[in-house]
Amino acid sequence: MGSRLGAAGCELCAIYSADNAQARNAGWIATVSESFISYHTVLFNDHELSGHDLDFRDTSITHLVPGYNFTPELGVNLSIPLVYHHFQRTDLRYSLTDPPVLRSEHSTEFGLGDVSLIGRWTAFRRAGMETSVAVSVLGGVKFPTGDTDRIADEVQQTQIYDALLPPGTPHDPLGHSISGVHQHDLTLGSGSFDGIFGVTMLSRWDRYFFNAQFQYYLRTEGESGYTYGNELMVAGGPGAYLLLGKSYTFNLQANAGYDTMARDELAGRLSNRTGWTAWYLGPQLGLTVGNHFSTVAGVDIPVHITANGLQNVPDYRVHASLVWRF
Amino acid sequence: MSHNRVVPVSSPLRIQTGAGRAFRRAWFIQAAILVGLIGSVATGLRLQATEPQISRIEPFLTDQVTIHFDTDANRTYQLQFLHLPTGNWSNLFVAPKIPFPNHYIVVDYRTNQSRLYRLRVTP
Repeated sequence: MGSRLGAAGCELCAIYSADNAQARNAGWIATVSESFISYHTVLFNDHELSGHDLDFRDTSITHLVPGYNFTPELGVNLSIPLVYHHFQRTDLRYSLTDPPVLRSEHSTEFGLGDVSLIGRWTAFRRAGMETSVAVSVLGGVKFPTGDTDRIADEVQQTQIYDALLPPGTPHDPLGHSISGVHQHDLTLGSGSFDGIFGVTMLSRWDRYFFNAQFQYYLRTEGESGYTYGNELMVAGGPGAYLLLGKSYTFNLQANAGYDTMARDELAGRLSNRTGWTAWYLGPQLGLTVGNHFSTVAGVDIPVHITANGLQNVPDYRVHASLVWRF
Repeated sequence: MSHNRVVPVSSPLRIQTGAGRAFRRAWFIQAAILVGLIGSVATGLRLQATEPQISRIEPFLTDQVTIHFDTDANRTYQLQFLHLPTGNWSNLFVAPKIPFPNHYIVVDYRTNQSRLYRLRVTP
């Protein structure tokens, strides 16, 4: 799924990796993409909290992406995410009959996330020996295939907390939680049909290139009325081919990323404990072998993060992908 | 070295469920606040913290009450109760030491006895 996962749930990133490969012919294409994000930094209204035994989560998402290109310009991909969370969280559980109970979890979640179907159309392409430019448009739908029990539980806690307060008392819908790792961070699916939109641009001049991608995730109401905030991601940067052989290439790119997510809505109200913006920098390596195989790997280090309320935010992100064109 | 200090108890809050049967069915909720402040003799500094306070006690549903209080960062709060006329203080709820302020709501059952509540905080 997407949402809290930021680029870890980046459905288009796996597609983008495939799109980035050298050979571009009609036919089948298979991509395996892996993202790992460490969320060990806890922010409370933008201030980093310190202490022992703070809540954390490590999130790994493996995307299996079979695809088919009808023509070099037109293709479709199915993104199947397998989501794994390793986390620790201590939070209160409210009830209508008894005092709240402090509950600690040090556990894992694993399962199928939200599957996406994404189409690609290369709207512009100009290729020569010295230079090349290609612009592709991507669009698709994310389906509610992942488990949503944790969102349902979080919304139920909100409803209980609301009931305990006098009517009209202003409060955040996530006011019941004292953890930076929320249930909606750990869910496998959102329960919503979401729109996915993107534009990728690949350009090259001699041994140098500049790649960029824009992604926008339009969220709709999902499990128990929970609606994740819409998300915008922009990434890219300049690079150079360090090795150029007859049957292989090896390149290095300086990658910059911007990721911003709006606040979530639950119980009919926006939560000021959700929503964040992050800037990343990091290197990315690319290797192509022959006309069939390519791989990309990179690290993103956050250089600036702002987050509303209490949230765990990324310390670093690692991503890699393998692409095979049949 | 540290010391505890007890501050005056807040005025008892009395709630009656029915005027005609007040004697038999009335129940009382009384709130008391015990503040434990630990000063640092070594540094000569006094902790700058909000005075702990039970901000609200009110009936909830048919046979319960809710007790509200706010907490400062990095302090542990114990909400305790005492059955009158005699008894020992017992923890009803412990708000953990967390690095940010928060608001808690604790549900308790009404009884036909008077009950005192107090909030104990450390450090």
